[in-house]
Amino acid sequence: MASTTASRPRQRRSDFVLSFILVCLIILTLYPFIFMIITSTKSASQFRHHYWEPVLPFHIRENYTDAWETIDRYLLNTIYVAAISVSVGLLTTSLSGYAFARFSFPGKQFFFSMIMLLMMIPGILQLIPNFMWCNQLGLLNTYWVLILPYIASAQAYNIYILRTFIASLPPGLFEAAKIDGASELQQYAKIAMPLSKGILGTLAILRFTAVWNDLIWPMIVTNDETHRTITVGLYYYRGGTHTQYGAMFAGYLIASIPLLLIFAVFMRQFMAGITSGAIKA
Amino acid sequence: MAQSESAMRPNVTVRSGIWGSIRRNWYAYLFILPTLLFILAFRYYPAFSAIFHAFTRWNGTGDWKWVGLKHFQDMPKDTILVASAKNIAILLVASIIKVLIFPLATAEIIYNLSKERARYWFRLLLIIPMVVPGIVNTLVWRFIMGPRPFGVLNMLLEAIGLGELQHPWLADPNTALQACIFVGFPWVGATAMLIYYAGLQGISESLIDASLIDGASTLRRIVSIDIPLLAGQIKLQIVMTTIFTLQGFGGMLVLTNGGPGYATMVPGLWMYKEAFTADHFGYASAIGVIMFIAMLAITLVNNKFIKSDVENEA
Repeated sequence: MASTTASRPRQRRSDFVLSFILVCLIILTLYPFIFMIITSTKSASQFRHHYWEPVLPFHIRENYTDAWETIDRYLLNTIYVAAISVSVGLLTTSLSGYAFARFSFPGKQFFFSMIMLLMMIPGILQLIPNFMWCNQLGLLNTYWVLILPYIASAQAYNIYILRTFIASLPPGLFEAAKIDGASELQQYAKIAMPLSKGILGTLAILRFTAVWNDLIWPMIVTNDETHRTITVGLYYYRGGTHTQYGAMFAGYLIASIPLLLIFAVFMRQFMAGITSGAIKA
Repeated sequence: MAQSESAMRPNVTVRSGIWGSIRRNWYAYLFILPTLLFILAFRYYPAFSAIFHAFTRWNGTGDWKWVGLKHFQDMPKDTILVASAKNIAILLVASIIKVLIFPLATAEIIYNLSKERARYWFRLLLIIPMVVPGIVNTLVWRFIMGPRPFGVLNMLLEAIGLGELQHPWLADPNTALQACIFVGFPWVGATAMLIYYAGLQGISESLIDASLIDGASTLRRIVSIDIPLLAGQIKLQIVMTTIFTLQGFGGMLVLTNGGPGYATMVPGLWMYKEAFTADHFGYASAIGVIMFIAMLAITLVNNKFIKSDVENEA
């Protein structure tokens, strides 16, 4: 932590300067979103005549219902896809991370290298072939075509982080359980997983955000409204018939709510996971 | 057990050793089986398929015809591709500068505050943008740089009396790329900042106290202690930014769609257009292969260039 050996007046002065800089940074960073919130309360004519300041009466009801009616399906689709792919992703990668951390078996190095090598292969290389064979299997315009590749792309990074973490847990815990007759699966479920909550929470947030933000793959593989995700929906949404910016921004804000909730729930684990310093090259 | 077997049957020890080991550890393979299935289906198979089809002419129905190196020979003649390569090089340098300077400086500023509550709250406030989906961020910035009477930047210039500086930032080929780089101002990326901050927290107090006893100013401490000890985090950010920037094109698609004209075209976006609007799947795959090789080369160079403590330990 910052050392306390500096004399007090100097500390207060440097605190003031630093805080001032930070406040400026925060205002600059958050201003686009503040602008978005204010504009989402305005009708089209209000916005045309009062660009900067909030104006009464607020048109919140119209803008937000207009936006919601357009994007509700997309929002629910994306929540569904993200929830399933993140949780199945964590399940598969924690099992693998546990295996690579705790077991030794023939081919272990080979399989691990195979997985780590994936981090070198850019996602862009897979775009076309995945589209091709999913098309041939008739998987386009379904939920599976969205969920399964997301699980696959979570593997390398998650396994890397989880393996490092599980390997750092004291082996004595597992020995004790083994002596008590616990199987490997039980050791995984009852010892390793509860202790991994912080890192699992961090990975959950990162993966959920990644899935939520993905634009290209959903755009390629779904073109009907039933399976459209929120990113694609927002890309096409102009807010009503003639660019009603109020409703458009309302839509953007609605689309941020699920991420906000996820962060609120997992914030403590997220901060703890990042602070553990496990995330570095 | 293997020892007594070797006394009885010396020729077959090694093989029964391995197979015995496989049989003993059968459950390990079950643990990693789901992972292997997913990555074989959706990552390894497509990678090989892409490399293979880079040498074919491939259309939307899945029919392909072998054409050897033709696509690679055509590439230098593809002026749009060449232009996009120049663009991505500029964007890459800009991105690396952005991810190295601003989040790190911010992390240092927060770290040097004396009150824990202030450090916590400033970090929290700066994470808020993470809550907003990336596309919203891009769309808002596209709006900000838009033309009068709606673009925030232009309206701001008018409001403070610099009306003559107004410009169609994204619509003018001369300013479009710079405008793309400006997006995200002041470029304090939340994840990067948090990772640097975590690294700073990991620096031992005794090291800092020793430097203060030696009379080091804060700046000196930052340069000689903090940054070298953050080498692991810095390296990660460089690698991740490189990989992300070189292949990314979602942002560009939303921001400018490669325009105006082809002023902001990037290789990823050109590959996407060649594949999904022109049906040149083979040529697009070839572009992808070239991008893959370029990324591999840059990552290897980066690994050689910066040694982090993780490797020094090994």
